[in-house]
Amino acid sequence: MSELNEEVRRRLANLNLNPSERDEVIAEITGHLELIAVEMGFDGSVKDDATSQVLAAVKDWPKLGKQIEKSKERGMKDRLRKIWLPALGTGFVAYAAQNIIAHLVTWPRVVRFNDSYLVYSWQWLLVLLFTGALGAYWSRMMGGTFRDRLIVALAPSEIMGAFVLAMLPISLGLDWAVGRQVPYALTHPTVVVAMLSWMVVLPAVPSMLGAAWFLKGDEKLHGEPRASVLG
Amino acid sequence: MIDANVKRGSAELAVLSLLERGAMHGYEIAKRVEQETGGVLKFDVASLYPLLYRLEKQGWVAAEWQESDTGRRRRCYKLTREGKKQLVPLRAQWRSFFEALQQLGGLASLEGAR
Repeated sequence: MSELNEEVRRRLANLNLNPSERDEVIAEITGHLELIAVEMGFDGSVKDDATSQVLAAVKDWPKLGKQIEKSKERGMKDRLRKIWLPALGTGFVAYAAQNIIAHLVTWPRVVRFNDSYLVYSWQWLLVLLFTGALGAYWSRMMGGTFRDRLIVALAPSEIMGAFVLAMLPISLGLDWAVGRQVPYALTHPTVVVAMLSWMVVLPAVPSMLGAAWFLKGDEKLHGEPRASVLG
Repeated sequence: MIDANVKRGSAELAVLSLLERGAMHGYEIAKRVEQETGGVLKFDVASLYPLLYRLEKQGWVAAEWQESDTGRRRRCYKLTREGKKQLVPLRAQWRSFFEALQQLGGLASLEGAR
């Protein structure tokens, strides 16, 4: 890491962005300052006095940090486009496919596991490979970051996770009302862990595998080919 | 000397107009703006990047990392379809703004006297 890069990182240490976004900003500003250094007659390696001269191109670093944070602040419309709509679409496709498989193709398999039951359908797990890819690709097309794409790809698991967690207080209420008469109530830690594993973690695996290809790379760009004149 | 607010308002138009010609990285944008306006408009790091990030957030420009001929990675900005659409009314607004100023401030007569 160059001295200049370290200095920029130190001066923008309080930049309140996610780590990958912060690294990107630091790399971009360092690149800009390196070109200023070349313009000022310093060679590629900017050291000591030269570093402080180049860094002086930014008069108020904390103010720059605040301005960058403000300009990158995401609005609701942005989140809707990059996260919410793709996630809802992905979740809808996944659970529509689950219903079709369950009612038209085959019933899910039920396997008894100690005192619990594992309900799964391998056909649905295969569909999740596709929905994972679909979600990550959709979010990428909308300009979503790595994090956004991951959130969208895992939407089927997140929806089920939210459902399980929402059921927890209801189960606690039922448990209290009927005096621990329900054998597989969600209040039992083993049942909660088992349900989270089967309904959240297990579907997350094929979703992640399907999404892997689309998690890398930048968003699709529109417009003319690049016409750059400066290094 | 042009007032800072006017400069700020014109910065968006300057960057979008420049990117209409092709993708550029931040330093290149700053240099081109300075050269092509004879130094009247100038971008420094503190004024350029917040603007670029805001335009990116609005979806008017998109950015991607590219490797230059020297092997260095640069984040290049490109005008999006939405950006191209936005440029049309933005230009019209600025044109009418200057026309209004011309009438009010007698810029036309100054021009004629030159």
